[in-house]
Formats: sequence, C-alpha cells, structure tokens
Amino acid sequence: MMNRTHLDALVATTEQSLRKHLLETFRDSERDPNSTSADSATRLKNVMEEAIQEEPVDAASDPHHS
Amino acid sequence: MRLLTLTIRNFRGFGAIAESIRLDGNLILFFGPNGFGKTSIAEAIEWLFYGTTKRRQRGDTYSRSEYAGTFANVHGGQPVEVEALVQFNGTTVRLCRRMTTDESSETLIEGVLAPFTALLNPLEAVYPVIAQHGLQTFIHAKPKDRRDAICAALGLDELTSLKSALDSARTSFQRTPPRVVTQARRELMENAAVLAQIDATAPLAARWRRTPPQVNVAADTAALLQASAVLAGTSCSTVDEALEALRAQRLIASRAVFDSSKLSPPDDAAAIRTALGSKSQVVLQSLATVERLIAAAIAAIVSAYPTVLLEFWSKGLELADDSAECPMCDATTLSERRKNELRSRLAAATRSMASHKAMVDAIDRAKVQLAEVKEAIDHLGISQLQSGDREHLSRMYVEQPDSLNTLLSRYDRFDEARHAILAEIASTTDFLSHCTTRLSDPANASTVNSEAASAKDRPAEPLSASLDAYDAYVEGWAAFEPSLSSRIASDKVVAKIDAVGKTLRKLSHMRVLYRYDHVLTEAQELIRSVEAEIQLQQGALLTTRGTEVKDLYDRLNRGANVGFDTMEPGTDSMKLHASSFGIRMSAAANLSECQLNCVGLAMWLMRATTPSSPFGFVLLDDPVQSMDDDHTEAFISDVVPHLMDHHGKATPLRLLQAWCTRLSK
Repeated sequence: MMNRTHLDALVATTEQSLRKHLLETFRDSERDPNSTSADSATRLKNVMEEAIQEEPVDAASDPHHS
Repeated sequence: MRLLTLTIRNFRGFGAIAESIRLDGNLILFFGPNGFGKTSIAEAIEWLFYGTTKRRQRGDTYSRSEYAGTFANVHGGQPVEVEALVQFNGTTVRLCRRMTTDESSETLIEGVLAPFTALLNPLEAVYPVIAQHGLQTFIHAKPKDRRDAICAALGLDELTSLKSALDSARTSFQRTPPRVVTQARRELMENAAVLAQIDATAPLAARWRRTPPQVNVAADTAALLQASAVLAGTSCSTVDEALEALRAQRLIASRAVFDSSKLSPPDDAAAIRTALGSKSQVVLQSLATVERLIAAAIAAIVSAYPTVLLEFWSKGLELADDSAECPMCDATTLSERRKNELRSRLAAATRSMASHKAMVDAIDRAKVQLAEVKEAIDHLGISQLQSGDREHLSRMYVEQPDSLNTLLSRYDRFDEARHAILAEIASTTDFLSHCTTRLSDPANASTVNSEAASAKDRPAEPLSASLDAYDAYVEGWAAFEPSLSSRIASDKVVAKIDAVGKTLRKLSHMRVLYRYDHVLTEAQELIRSVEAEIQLQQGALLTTRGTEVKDLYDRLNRGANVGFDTMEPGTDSMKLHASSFGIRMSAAANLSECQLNCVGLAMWLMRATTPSSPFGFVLLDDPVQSMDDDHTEAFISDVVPHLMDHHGKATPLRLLQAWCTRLSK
C-alpha cells in the first residue's frame, strides 16, 4: 500500500516557502482522483511561474531604488 | 478481502456465456493446455481491479493501434464486464467493472456506479497478479524504472512520482521559460553590447551575455549606478537620481550632436493645432460681424443729428408736456404731429448709439481673438532654425539628403505661411484699432466701410494656408524624426547614456531573471532533497523487505554458490547485485534467465504479500513455465508452502489463490 506518511512528513518538515508550496501543490494534485501525472507536473510548473512574480526574501529590499 | 466467485462476460477469451467461477478456497489451481483461458482469467482479475493489465500497458508502449480493442472478446458480445463476489470483514459485496466507449470502463458496487476506492485502494504497491511474462520486466529495465518499481513495491511511489513531476516541471520551466522571462532577456540584451564598452558595466554585460544570462540584482544595479555617475559626472546614490542625472547629461550630449528641439513641434502641438483651427473659425466669424456692425453704425451716423440738438428736443418735449406751446418761443407750434416727429428723431438717435456701442464691442472682441490666434501660431514653434543649423544638418545627411530636403522644404513653406498670417493679423488688428476714431469723421465712413469688408475676408486664406503647411510639416517631422534620433543616439557618448538609462529603467526585468534563476535553483534543491529522502527510505525499507526477496530467491535456489545477492539503491537507479562464490557482480548481466526469473518472482511475491495489502490473494499466472525442473520443484515444494504458512495464516493474506499448470502435477 502506498505510504502517504513519507510525503506528508516531507511537507511538514519543509520550511522554505517555495519548496513547501511545490510539495503541497503536488500532494493536492496527486491525491485528487481527477488529476493525472501530467496535471501534477503542469501544476508544479504553474507554481514556478507564479513564483517569478513574487519577491524572494533575500532580494526584497533594494537599497539602490528610492 | 476474500474472493468468492468470478464471472467473466465477453472479456478476452471469454464469450457471452458467463458461468460463475468459484474461488473460495485457500489454494485454487487451474490447469489446461495453452489457449484455454488461464491467462484470460488472470487478466480479468487485473482489469476488474485496475481497469487495465500489465500486458496491455506494455503492449501500448510498442504499438497502441495493434493492441487497441483487445480487452473485448473478438466475437464482439455485449456487455464486456467482469464481476466478482468478494467478502469484506464478513460482508459479501458484488463488484463489477463494465466496459464503456473507447475501452473506458465504469465500476459498480452492488449494481450501483461507484469507485472501488470506497472499499479498497488498488495500488501498484500491492499488485496481486504475477504473470510469467512479466517476471523479468523489473530485471531488464532501465535503472530508474527498476528503482521506481522497487519504490512502488515499498510504498514510496508518491515520493518517486513527486521527483518525476518536479523533474518534468523544472525541465519544462527551463526549456520553455515564461514569456516574461524571454522578454526580459531580450530587452536587457539589447543594451548589453554598449554596456560592455563601459568599464563599470563590462563584467555585468559579460555575465548577461552567457547562456542563460546571469543576473545579480544588487551587484548589477550598483554597477549601473557607478556607470551613471561616470557618464553624468555627478554622484548617483539611487536609481531615480541616476536617471535624472543621465537625462540632463543626455540632453547636453545630444545637443552637441544636434538640438532637435529646433525642428520638433511642441509636445502639445496636436492640442494647439486643434485649438488654432477653432480659433480661426471664430475670428473669421467675428470679423464678419465687425464688418456688418460697422456698416450699421455708418448708416446711423449719416442720419444722425448733433447731440446738443437731441438734448434740446428732449428737454423741450419734457417741459411742454401736454401743451402745444413751445417752451422756447411760447408759440403754439408743438402740435401732436410735431411732437411725434421729434420723438421719432430721439428714438433713432438712441438706436444709433446702441449700434455704435455694439460695433465697438465687436471690434474689441475681434482684436482679442486675433491676439489669441497669433499667440497660438507663436506656440507652434519650429521657427528657430538658423543657417548654421541647416549646414550642420546637411553634413549629418550628406549621404541621404532627400529626406532632409523634404523636411526643410516643408519647414520653409510653413515658415512663409506663418509670416504671412502674422502680417495679416497685424494689419487687421491695426485697422480695427483705428476704426472707431476714423468713423468720428463721417467723411471716412465710405473708406472704413470698404476696408471692413476687405478685412473680413483677407485672413481666411493665409490662416488656412498656414494650418495646411503646419500639418504637412508635422507629418514630415514624424517621418524624419526617427532617423535624426537614430543619428543622435549613434553618437558614442549618447549611446552609452542611453544604454545605462534604459537598463536602469528595466530593473524589473533584472528582478524577473533573478527570480527565475532563484526558482530554478530552489526546484533543483528540492529535487535533490526528495531524492535523498527516497534513498533514505529505500535503504531503511530494504533492510527488512529486501531480506524477504533474498529469502524467497534462496528458497528457489537452495545450495547455489552463484545467485542473487542484494539490491543497492542509488540516485535514480537500483542496482541488482549477484554473488559468485562470494564475489559481487551485476545480477542482470551475469545470472541465467532462469535465475533472473527467480529474482523477478521473488520481487513480485514480496510486493504482492505486502502486509498492508487490501487484497486477500496472490494470483500466479504460470510462473514456472520458463523455469527448469529444479526451480519448478523448489517453487512447488518450498515457496508455495512457505507462502501458505507465513502469509496464509499469520497475515491478512489468508488466501493464496494460484493458477499454476505445473503445480497441479
């Protein structure tokens, strides 16, 4: 039987926001009975694309722009 | 779960006559010649629980068209369905899978459409059917596929699916970047060549021109600010300061090439042009009004009486009141007819004064409007070109003089028209300014009248001509300006200022590329950590489940000095090791086919007997067909009893159901 605790544990112990978002997105997609493997990859790519629009924590403050 | 009966209709080798097959026993054997339907029974059970079969999945990878439509019996009966009576925790339930269109299928529980997941979860990790044709699919597979198969058997398939999905998503994200990334790359690259010529930004340009571009927002911004300071000759601590300084320096540098403001219409030229058109119409109407009112005023002047006489008559009529006696001579000369005649003269005088006032007001209004038209024409600009400027332009366009000559001819035409209308406005304004004074002398009336008629029409043509010339010039400038801007921008200093300024205005593009790299890196790190987790879990699980495989293999190969040894997980791989008199070697490359079949059988038996499996059976479809007699004997005498003893009693797998031709013997 598929042991879901492995993925759940990975999600729970991941703190970095993008990684956590990717893991949660995959988990939701994989456990959605209407979702395929291709859907999961597409959803992960969408998360990556959305992350481009967000400000990474280490580049949030730009001292050069007034 | 315990299988009780199986009913197969129009599936694979089974036709429409469906007889229920009893399966309620601890060991069920089917034996018969090839082609008598043993494998069809096995595939029916696979299809019932999984909606497909391993054979079909493999066949589809070879030729989808060749395998299409092969679930249904070739004689084409309907419905195509497999039905099983099963027992869950003492309750008997009827499960059915029925084929629909395009080989899709639907599942029914007690005759009602419902997913089987409501009762059990038929996952790859507990696949209960072991077919002889699939024994080596795991052995002779790519290392990654072998690893995925092991992971599925160990319940780690969610993690391997995660890694595959992340790999796929990241690869796609990298190979086909979002449009915002490609646009940012393209626009930043446009200035990279010039930035490479500036000391402060040369390293930046080198990094940006790599594939893929490498952007460091903080360092690159600092380099651009440093370049701005050098180019502008002033310190720039912020981007806004730098842009302001570059803008000022760009003006100076571009004017050193050519001051295009001498040719450029003002920014609000379109609005001024529209307003000028309206004002021109208004002033022409006003001049027509002036001409009409001057004529009316002159007519009134001709029939006018002296003011003193009008005042005298007014006073006399007031004193006489109702009497006919004249206040001046006491004679009764003020008859009613005479009084009405005097009142008529007084009324005409009042109208004449009103007409005069209207004329004066109209003249004042027209003068104001003419001033506004003049002001608007002045605002159109483009009148500062000096002879030196023309020579400069000629030198810049020595190789392509036609476009310059076209523009300059339009410039001259407008300048000429502009002078003409301004002269006309000055002349008309002068006429209007002296009009009233001149009319105080009735002798001038006729001349003024004819001049007013002329003044009404004269500005129309030069006004129209100047507007047409202006429109033509603006059109010509629109065509000419890009080439002039290009010539100015090609100046080395201007080009550097432009490159730094444009890049600073595209900081958002730099941030996009930085974030894109950041996301790729994070995704890669996540993939690595998932792989590490898979290997960690594999290692832990193989220390227990791996020994089951080894034990089952050894039961099939008692006393052999050469055989399967162990499984070793690696990154995206699973190595199978064999041992030859204590020396480790590759199992897939060195073991015999029969030994490899034993490894495959042991592996799939370990998977099918997973303790948490919801299935209460293991189905073996002729697993010993490709084994020699010794292995077949070992399977019958050792493995089957072992499974019966250990899984048939001590685990939820209380029932071992096997289809085995040789076993029956």
